[in-house]
Amino acid sequence: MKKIPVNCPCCDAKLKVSKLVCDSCDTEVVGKFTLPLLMQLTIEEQEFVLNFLKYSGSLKEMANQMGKSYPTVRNILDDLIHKLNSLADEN
Amino acid sequence: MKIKHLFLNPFADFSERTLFLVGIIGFLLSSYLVYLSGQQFNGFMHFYKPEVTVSFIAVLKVHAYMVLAPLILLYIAGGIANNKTRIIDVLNVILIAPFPLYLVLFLSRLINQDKFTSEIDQALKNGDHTLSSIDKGQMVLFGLFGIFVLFLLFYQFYLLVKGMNIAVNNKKIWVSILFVALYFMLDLGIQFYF
Repeated sequence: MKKIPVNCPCCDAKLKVSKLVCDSCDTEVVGKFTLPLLMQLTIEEQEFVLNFLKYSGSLKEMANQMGKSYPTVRNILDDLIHKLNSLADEN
Repeated sequence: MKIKHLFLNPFADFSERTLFLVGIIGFLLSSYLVYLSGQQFNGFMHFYKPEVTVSFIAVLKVHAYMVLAPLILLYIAGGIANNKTRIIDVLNVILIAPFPLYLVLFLSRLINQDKFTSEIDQALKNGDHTLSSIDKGQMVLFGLFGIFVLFLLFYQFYLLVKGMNIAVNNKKIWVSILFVALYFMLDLGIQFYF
């Protein structure tokens, strides 16, 4: 599956969804839709969020799985929270 | 990959338990090395030769102060910068950062630096200001050792900054400089008490 670009390759501004297509009847919905908050994260950040859920929020277990130290994983989470707050404010 | 990270940033990849265990082993071994060489700590980066023989317990005790003092200071500073700072992460930084210094201590014993220093001292006392009586090969060896020691001292501060940045989640350069300055100033100040 192709990776959805989040930022404009020309000016780096945030991209919006302009068209949605139904696979079964080919109905098209055209407009300007903002990407959901989680979709605006990078692939690595989205994977981190998924792992966070997968390990029931246990940073210690995540650190073991990722081969990173606990404070490193906690720092990634803190930075992610900060980024999500900034994105939420922008939206 | 892990080997590269081991030297560049051990605090990013290794668990706090591993870092703590390695740190404690380093703490004990370096204390024993200082005891064997008949020296005593009087700063995080300083040793001196007391006139009376010191016991291993006495060396351990002073070394423990040399860990506790920066731990308290950097933990408070880290706590101000980020209230999520954990004491175990700061302790691991304090225990691991002086490892390059322990290597200096070991190497200086290995190449018998004390003997060389006393030879230089004696030559100067005898009026040999050009040090012509000192073996040139030895001079080069200790010159290179001096450069290597400077590199290791720099590496010690590099580890301190890397470790504290992870413990505190700091990305600001001025905060890193502050950590180094606090460590350095405490090291200078503590010499008056030991």
